[in-house]
Amino acid sequence: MSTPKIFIIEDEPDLVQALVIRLEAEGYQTACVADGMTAAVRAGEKKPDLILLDICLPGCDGFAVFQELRQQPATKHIPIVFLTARSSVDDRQKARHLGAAEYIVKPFKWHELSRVLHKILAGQQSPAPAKDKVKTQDGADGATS
Amino acid sequence: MSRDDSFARTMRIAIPFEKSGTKKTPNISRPVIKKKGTTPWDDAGTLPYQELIQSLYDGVLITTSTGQIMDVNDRAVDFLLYDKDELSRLNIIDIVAGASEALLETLRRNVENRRYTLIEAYCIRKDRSTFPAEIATNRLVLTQDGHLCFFVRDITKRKRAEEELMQTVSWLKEQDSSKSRFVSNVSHELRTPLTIINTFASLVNDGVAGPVSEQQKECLSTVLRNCDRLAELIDNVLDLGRIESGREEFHRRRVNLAELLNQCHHDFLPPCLLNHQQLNLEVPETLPDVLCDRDKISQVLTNLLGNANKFTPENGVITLRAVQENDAIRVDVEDTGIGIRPEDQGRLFEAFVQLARPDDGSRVKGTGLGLAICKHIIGIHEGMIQVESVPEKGSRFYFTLPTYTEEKKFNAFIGDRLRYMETRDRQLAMLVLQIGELPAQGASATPKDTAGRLQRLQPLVMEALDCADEQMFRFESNRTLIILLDGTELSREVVAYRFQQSLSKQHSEISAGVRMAYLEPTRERPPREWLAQAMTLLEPIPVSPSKTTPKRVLIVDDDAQILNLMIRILHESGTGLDLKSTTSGYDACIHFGEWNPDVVVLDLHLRDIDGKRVFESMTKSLPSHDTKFLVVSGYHGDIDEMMKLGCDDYLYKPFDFEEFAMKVNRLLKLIAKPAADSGATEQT
Repeated sequence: MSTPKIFIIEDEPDLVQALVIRLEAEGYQTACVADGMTAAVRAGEKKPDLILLDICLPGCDGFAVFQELRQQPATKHIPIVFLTARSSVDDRQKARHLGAAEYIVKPFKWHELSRVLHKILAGQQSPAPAKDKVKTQDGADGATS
Repeated sequence: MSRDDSFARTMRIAIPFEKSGTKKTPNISRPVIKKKGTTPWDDAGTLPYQELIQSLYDGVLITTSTGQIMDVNDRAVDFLLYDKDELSRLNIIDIVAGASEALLETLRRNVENRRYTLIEAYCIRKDRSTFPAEIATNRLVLTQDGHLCFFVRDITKRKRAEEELMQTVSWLKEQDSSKSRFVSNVSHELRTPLTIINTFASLVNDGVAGPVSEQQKECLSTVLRNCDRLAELIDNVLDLGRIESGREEFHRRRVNLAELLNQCHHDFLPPCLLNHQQLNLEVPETLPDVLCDRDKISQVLTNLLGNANKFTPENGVITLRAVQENDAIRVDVEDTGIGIRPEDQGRLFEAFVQLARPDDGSRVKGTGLGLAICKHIIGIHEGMIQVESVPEKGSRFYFTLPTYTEEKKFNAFIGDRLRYMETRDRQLAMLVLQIGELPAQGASATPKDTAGRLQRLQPLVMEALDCADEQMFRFESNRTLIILLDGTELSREVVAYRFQQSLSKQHSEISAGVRMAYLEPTRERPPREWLAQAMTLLEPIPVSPSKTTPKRVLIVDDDAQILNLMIRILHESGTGLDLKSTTSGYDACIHFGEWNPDVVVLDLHLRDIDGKRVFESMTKSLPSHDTKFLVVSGYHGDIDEMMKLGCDDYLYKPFDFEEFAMKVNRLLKLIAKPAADSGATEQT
């Protein structure tokens, strides 16, 4: 029953700071990375329960990071929430196609993000068999995408 | 090339020649004016056409039907720099760049049907320089063979103007798209700092950073409220940018407007209740469906109702109403609010117009973009949006939507997709699939059958081309399926290949008789015309080139008409079959022995011999060859007997031709796959 760990991939230090304060106040552990290039590797090391991912990142765009995260065995099953200023239908569709857990547009309301985190992490904390099910589903998604 | 010099060099044209045809200056049987001397007509009452031809602005060239130049006017000489003699040794092909014998042939065919043919081409001068020209061609009947007459107009100036125009258009397009990109980038850049302000302010407001006093809370809530306003403004700028540039996707379909209005009414009850306003809904009991994008119209309604809600004082009344007007529905959003001054009403729908309002101390303010967005949305729906208002009394905003018809939906279907593709620099492709006519024998043709076949075809096409339901269109009670594709990705060749790989290979019984046309529509012509053109281009869907010998089917039926139909159906099923047919049982037996068919379709009631005897003779003559038999008869007794004798399948008369094609194809599939039979000789 450890506190859930949230990994933030975001290049705006001020926003990272705000998120860290807020998330830690709510009892989450946090870790962050500011560029796309090392994001996937770092995420693999940290083994978080959930990843918040920006799309416009220096080095490598969020969609590419997403795919990298999906390919690595260590991060393959971690739910990913896009948190981005990009609001176009095309981007949303792309995210859904890739299998993102949620797509939140900036600026967001705190309660909106909070609700999403609760919902996804509640699913994660469920007993083992359900978790397996999630895994196989993810696997299938990976094969089709 | 020798030239026939017997042709008259000078031109005296009066068409047509009189029947006598002997006079050199033929009479014209048109109004002959007798008053000589005072008119330009000559003594014979004929116009001096030579003069007319010489005075033309266009260059005129008369040629034989093979293009050999016979005569020209002075303008043609001016244009082409050859003298008359030189020109008369040339063919029209020599002076029109890219012209060929084939073009001449087309021209001849066109003029025979008394059609002018207009072409744009470059003409070649004597010094090999060229100039763009518009060339009209028509027929001249001077002798039996007929002649061609070319009117050549130099269009250098027009071409130059067109080119300049095109350059300007492409420059403007480039400017426009860079403006759109700029708006999109700026909006994005604005969001990031806004997010940070918003996140920190709410963090402090919620007490995460320590205790907050009431006064501080009030300040922070003002910050947050204005963050929301800025966020909404950014959204609206982006929305408007997308809609203006056409990048926003629209999906217009059949929508139950009454239901949508009900929904909006329901959604706006709570905020109106909160402001102590009454919200009425007036919708007639029967309201036709409309053609619209539900989400977009919902956005318009939300905007108008939101404004009414904002600008109507307590105890005011807001009315949402629908009224039918000919082939459109008018929707009113009426309020008893503060109203709009007449001088402001005109520019209300322009972007960023914030109206001066009586200072009522309220903090409500719009973004100034909502109505501009509404106007664009309604514009795309080919409707109009307007306002009537009396200050201090209230306003009535109203817009119209077209009532639904299939035809309008079809136009919208193509139009929406065209816009979508154009703004993404992609080519729209229209694929038309048509279920072949399969007249059910005896019984009347059944539209239900074709509908059923179409239904089965649809998912297969979707799978083969990886396209969604919303890319497809079907006219009700029609056997045509229209699919809009990204032509940049799915070219004609790719589509053909995909069909070969899946549709015709694995589902030949369904794809049997289906014909397709592929074309790339543009805005230049209305959707209906593209569809009409597609109908003229239909051809069987491509089949995979078989590496083995084509399968052979022998059809035996004494009714020649049915025989022909069966052949046509199997041809159209497109599985690359080798077919032989006969009305005679004797011939059938001979063909069978010589030709080794894979499938025999055998009518049991032939004129010369009994079908059963034909069957027995065939099976006995070649017991080793695995031929499949499909027997056809109107009598159940016959068929029972034949099935016992070892026939593979049967058809009762009258039968459906689709069923026929399906059964033949099934039997063909049962046959040992490669044509390993030594008996079969290669066919070409």
